[in-house]
Amino acid sequence: MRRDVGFAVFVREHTPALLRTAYLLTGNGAAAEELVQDTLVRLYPKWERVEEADAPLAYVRRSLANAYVNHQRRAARREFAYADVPERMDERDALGQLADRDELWNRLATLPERQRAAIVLRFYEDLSDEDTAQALGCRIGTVRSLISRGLATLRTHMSTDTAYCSPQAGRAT
Amino acid sequence: MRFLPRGRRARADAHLEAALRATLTEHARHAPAADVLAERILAAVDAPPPARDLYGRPPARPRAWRSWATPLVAAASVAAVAGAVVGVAHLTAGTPRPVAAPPPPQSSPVQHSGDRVFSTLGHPHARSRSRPSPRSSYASPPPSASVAAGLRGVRVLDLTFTGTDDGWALASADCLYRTGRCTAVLRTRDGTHWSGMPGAAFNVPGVQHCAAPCVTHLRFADDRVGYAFGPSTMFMTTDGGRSWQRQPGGALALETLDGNVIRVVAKGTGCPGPCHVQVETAAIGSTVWSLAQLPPNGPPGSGWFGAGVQFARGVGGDAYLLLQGNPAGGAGRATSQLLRSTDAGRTWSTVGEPCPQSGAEVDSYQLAAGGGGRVSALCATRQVPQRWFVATSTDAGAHFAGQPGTIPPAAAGGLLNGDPATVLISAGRRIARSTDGGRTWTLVARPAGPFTFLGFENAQVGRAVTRRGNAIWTTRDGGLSWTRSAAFG
Repeated sequence: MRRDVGFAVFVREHTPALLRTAYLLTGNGAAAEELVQDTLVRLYPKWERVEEADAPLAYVRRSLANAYVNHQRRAARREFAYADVPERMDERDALGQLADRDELWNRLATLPERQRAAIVLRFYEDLSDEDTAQALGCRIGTVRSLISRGLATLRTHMSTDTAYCSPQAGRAT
Repeated sequence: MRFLPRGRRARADAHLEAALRATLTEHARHAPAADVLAERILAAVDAPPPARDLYGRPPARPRAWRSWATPLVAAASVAAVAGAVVGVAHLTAGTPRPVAAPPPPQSSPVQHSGDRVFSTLGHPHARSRSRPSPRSSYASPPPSASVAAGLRGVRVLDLTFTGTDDGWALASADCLYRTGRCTAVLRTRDGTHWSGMPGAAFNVPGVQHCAAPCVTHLRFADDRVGYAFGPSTMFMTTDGGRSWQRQPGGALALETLDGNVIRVVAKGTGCPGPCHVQVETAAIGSTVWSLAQLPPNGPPGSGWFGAGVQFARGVGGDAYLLLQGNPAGGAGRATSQLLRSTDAGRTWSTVGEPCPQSGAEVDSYQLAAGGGGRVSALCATRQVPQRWFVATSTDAGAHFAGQPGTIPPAAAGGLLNGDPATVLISAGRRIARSTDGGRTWTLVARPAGPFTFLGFENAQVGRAVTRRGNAIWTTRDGGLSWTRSAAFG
């Protein structure tokens, strides 16, 4: 198969952003890589259609989110391999901060996939409700519902988080 | 749900959303690097699709698996280690030079790893002083300019040790005399100072996108004989790594112990993971490989296959091969199969899935073999939130028992190493250890991962490499404390 030049340019330019989104969706580096790879490989035969889209990146992101939501990448959960990532090893990183971040991160993993996808697209990609709806292939109202329910679930479990740390909050229960 | 007044609820929501954004932003930084993946994607669309799968069916859809992966474990012996020291090295800037036939086509890329842990010291590896010349389709490049210099941009991919302080590392590094990355095989005799060895005739991940010949792992049997291998490539050295000769085939995993070497190979293509998995054994340094007897799997000719392969060897001739199940899109069960050998890989029997299934499906991820027939499997429930734990066996894998301890999430999902009789180590983003056979786990304060390598020479001495690969961490107290024994700029 002859590689499309535009495809190669797109892959090299946008794989980092897609990989970050995929990582937030899957919570697993190997699964994220597989999700991105499978999404792009699957789109490649119809790449002309992608390029003709108003926003090719949004088109690909929509495919990525759909692939995730549709459970097509569940096999990736079995993987745990790490790529050779030039990650920063921050010796000053406080373990306590790590634990705090991990807490919310772990809760996020418990959300249904559509809720998690909606939250990632809304609060990480900063997509509007309309764009999030387009990415997920659903209505705006559905997106708002997904986000609302996702936040409610996270809020329910946040018994001691900063949002409720004030004395007033404690008395309000 | 708690009731909050409207204003306070709005503030709480704002806090939650802010915390969410911060968490997502922070964790996005832990996403894998994209450069290697981008090239792998481009290579995937260039590659012709397999005509038929194992059963003669057309491929369902393109699927590419990681061509190299993680867990790697060091060889047998003790390594003493000092504090953090920058290694000084020679590094060849040579480029692999194919001189004969082109390399064989890439076999199915797989997720794989080889594990061996807690091997005892001083194994009498058989040395063959007069060996037949290996068939070589690649000649080692002529010694290129090699100067003593501080290694820069080193990314350690794999470690292997054969004696006290005697070790090798497979790595990539910045080229000395030109831009880009070069393959680096590094040598240490004190566990601290590393020097580059010219003559590496292969690519590694991070070098030319690991174009063929591509190796991903390194194992040395003794101070002379070593193997550099990838799924479709194998090189052998008989002079301690100064020169390498191409060998037929490749290896998904390879381990040397007790005088012989066992490699796991995939003979077929078309599966999502490795196809027609076979096991071959050879005397150390020999170019003659014997096909091991695997039990039948399904209809005649089906062979063994899986989504990934885990291979571990224990002291005393025990060997374990885990063929991980493939959920095939996530709809069905994904039962793994453990094969075990008690005669150094010559014959094998089927055990089934080592991780105990209770209600929802439990997946088997990793193997860690110890001595005395002890072997551990890293298990996780399929259902989220996942629970990670170990199942252990004391009868060479014949029976496994799930342990009650839950591995802390921060240390789960990556690598497992150790022996339930002494200490078990689990490494994910952080490291946790268990000294009671997996009944309880304790997080270790440092270092911070994620880790791509976790290997133990014995119950006290072990090493870990973080994902960046520019430092080697060493423990000498069974994983309780770790020091950065080598750091590369």
